Amino acid sequence: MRHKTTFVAAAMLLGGLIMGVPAGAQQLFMHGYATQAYGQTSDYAQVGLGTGGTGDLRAAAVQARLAFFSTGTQIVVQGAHRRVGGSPLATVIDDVELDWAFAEQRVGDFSARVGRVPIPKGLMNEMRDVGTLLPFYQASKAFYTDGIEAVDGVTVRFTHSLGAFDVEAQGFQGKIPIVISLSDQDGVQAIDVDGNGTYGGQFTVALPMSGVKVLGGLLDSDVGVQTAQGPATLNWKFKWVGAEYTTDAYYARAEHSWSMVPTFQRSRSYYVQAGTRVKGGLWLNVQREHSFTRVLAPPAVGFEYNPIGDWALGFSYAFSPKLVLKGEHHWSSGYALDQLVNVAGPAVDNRYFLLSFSTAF
Amino acid sequence: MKRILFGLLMAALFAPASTVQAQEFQVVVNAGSSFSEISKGDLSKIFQKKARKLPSGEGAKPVDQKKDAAVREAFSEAVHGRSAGQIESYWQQQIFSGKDVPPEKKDSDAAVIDFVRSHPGAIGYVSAGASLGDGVKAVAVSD
Repeated sequence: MRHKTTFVAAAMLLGGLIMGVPAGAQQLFMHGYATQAYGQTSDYAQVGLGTGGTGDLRAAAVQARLAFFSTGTQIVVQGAHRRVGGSPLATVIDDVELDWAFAEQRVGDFSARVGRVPIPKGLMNEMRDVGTLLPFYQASKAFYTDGIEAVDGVTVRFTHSLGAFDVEAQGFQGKIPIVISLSDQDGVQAIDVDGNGTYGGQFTVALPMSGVKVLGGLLDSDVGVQTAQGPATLNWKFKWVGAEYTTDAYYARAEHSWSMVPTFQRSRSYYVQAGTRVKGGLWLNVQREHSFTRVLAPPAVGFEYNPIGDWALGFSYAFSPKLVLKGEHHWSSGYALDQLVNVAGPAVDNRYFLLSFSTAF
Repeated sequence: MKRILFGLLMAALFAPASTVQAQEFQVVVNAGSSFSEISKGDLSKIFQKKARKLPSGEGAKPVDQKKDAAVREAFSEAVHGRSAGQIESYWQQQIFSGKDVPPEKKDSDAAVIDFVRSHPGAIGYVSAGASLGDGVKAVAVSD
């Protein structure tokens, strides 16, 4: 999906810039995160897990940020390593990939970025793999679909305080990688395709009540796919809303999205999660996520099903904000598995647990 | 005696919180800065890099205390209304969404004061009893 050569070139560019600028005029910041997990399912392969259990679940990244103080320019490069167990996604993910590589220019409340830039989509998109910030091992699978994480193009951002309200408006334009899951007689496959001519944006408002944030956004993309008749382009429209309330003692968060690919399918999905601090760094977390799809393509026009239906209950224990242990159990009923199931039949019940350990620096 | 104890208890309960908090830290700026008072709201935004200018119009250079400093917890609760741990999480979100990095951290009151003294536009906070010396001044924090 992403290219090692681009990663190496970005690292060399960053290195060159560091060497070429007088000391004191710039500063290099290094950050990173890592999560290792172990999990097992009860009956079916799902989210990379099998009935035999696996520890081949990992997400890590290292980020370098070079800031030039006099001009307000920043160069950011983030490389990632991800393992997804037995998930079909493993065929489209390299061991080391380039997450982002962009140059940013700030002028007052405005900033513009060019390169491979994270896409604002919902509350957690850019942080979907940062275990220390998530209440569960993964961000909601129903809302945060695979791919749609970065755009090769341009983003603009405007932040401003309007009285007690903090507003943030972001826009993006370019090409995005999208991962599509396909089922055929050979099983479930993941393929990555390009979303060309993609544009969209997100508007976020932090309310005067401390810890309250609401947002809404949309995305429009022309997805290139290969059909039996040859290459084709499908227009894909996506919109979403979300809200969260966080305090030192509890949080609640919910997001809902609607997706439409005319002549192919229409779907909507949501998740709701909440948690409370039991004592010290110990939190109890609960989550419900669900998705609904209506087929618009022949021969199954009008067929409806619920790919994802999942309840999760878990705990997280923060030794510090940068060192977190989590345990979770999921009760799943749907069709979004890593193995072939009959979507015309009854929903498939499955259970799985995950233990994970996350750190950040 | 009971009346005196009751009076002391009531006085402690209803004493303005800002008075108590104000005794725990002092906000310091470079002596060249032309303002003498800043609101908690503006202070919070500057330390979260949501605002980039001081009330005087200078570009703000916030400087933080190390994560386990007692004065940092007091400052965080009083100014942000959130624990220092929550502010750490806020900065993780900013870093890993590619937006920004936290203010520079210093290991002691003396290091914060040295930084503020040598950087026009710098703003920091130190323990209430810290000696400031030349080139640095304390500013009042209003609600």
